[in-house]
Amino acid sequence: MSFENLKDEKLTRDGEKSLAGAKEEQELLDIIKKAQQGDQEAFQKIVQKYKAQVAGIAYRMIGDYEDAKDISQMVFVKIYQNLNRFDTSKKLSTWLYRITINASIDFIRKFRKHKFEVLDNIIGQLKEKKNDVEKVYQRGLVRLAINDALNGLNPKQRSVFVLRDIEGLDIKEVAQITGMPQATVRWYLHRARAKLRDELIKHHPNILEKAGIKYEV
Amino acid sequence: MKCKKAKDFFLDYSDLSEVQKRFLHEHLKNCPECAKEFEDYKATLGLLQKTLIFKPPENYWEKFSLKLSSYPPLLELRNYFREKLDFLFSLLQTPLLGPIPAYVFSLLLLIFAAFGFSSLSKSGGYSSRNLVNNLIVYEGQLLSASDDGFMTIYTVSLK
Repeated sequence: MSFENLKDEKLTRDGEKSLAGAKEEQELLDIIKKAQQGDQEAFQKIVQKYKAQVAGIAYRMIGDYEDAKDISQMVFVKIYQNLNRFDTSKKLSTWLYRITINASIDFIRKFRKHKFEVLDNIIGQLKEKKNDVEKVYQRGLVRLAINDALNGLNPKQRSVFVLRDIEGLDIKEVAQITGMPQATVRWYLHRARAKLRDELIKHHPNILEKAGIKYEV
Repeated sequence: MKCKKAKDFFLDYSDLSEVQKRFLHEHLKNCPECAKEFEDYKATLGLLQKTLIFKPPENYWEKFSLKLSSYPPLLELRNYFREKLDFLFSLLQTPLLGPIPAYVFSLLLLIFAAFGFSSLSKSGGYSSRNLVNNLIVYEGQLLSASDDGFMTIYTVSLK
């Protein structure tokens, strides 16, 4: 996904919003109201709709699938317990993202530990013998470098980077989710991007070749 | 535009205004070093996006279950505690003897206790009247007597 793709995606999203969006929003509102009245089936519908998004954000924040699943379970329990407080005039996704980001930050602060997922992946792929050993090894190194670079960001920098550059949300939405002013979000984003650039390009100058990315200047 | 500014600009490329983007591209045309770095940065961001794609294993959602019954909504919990509290207050208001509610009794009890304490503190101390009663002045006249806890001071005028 490049800058242009991000822009395209946003345009399509805006287009969808104007057409099918209104009907879908009304349906979602009905489901939320039912869930607020204690309808567990309605709440399960909300879970089905948003679980991949919630787990996705948690995964990007933490870098581990199992932890991301645990966090999303915690997030949905929290949502269920506080659903009566939710103001239906606001967007549910913003609220969900906010709780997910906060839960992930709490998790990072509590259990900051090394992840061995990358190594496990490499060993797993080598055992399968489907891939070229050299290729798998290089891919593992790239992944390690990226993990290192991402771990170098503080939780706030990481959350704005994930929301803006990976999820493709706009600055206004990121500000709403993180509860920071837009200028602060811009500043954290700038710092996060600069850190990632320094870490990946300056400390791992061959990372793009290793990842097999070729482009013409 | 200087290289330092250009490097700042391409970090925030997706949030730049059209004018800022034009300035940046003009600089990149004339500065191959910055152009190379910009391409590197774009490719690195692409790599990051590719690496962070959420592709869970096939059986990922199988163990994802929410036992909602063990987590009652907080509003229900709050109502439960409010009911308990209301019950305790209603106990206080139920009459113990005839039509007089319990809180009247407790109020009366408080008033009696307050009186009791005040009478105790009075009997324990000395008043200037007691001091004068125990004193015999042979010659002269007693003007005043006071007690500060350590000593008693009499003021006497001589004849």
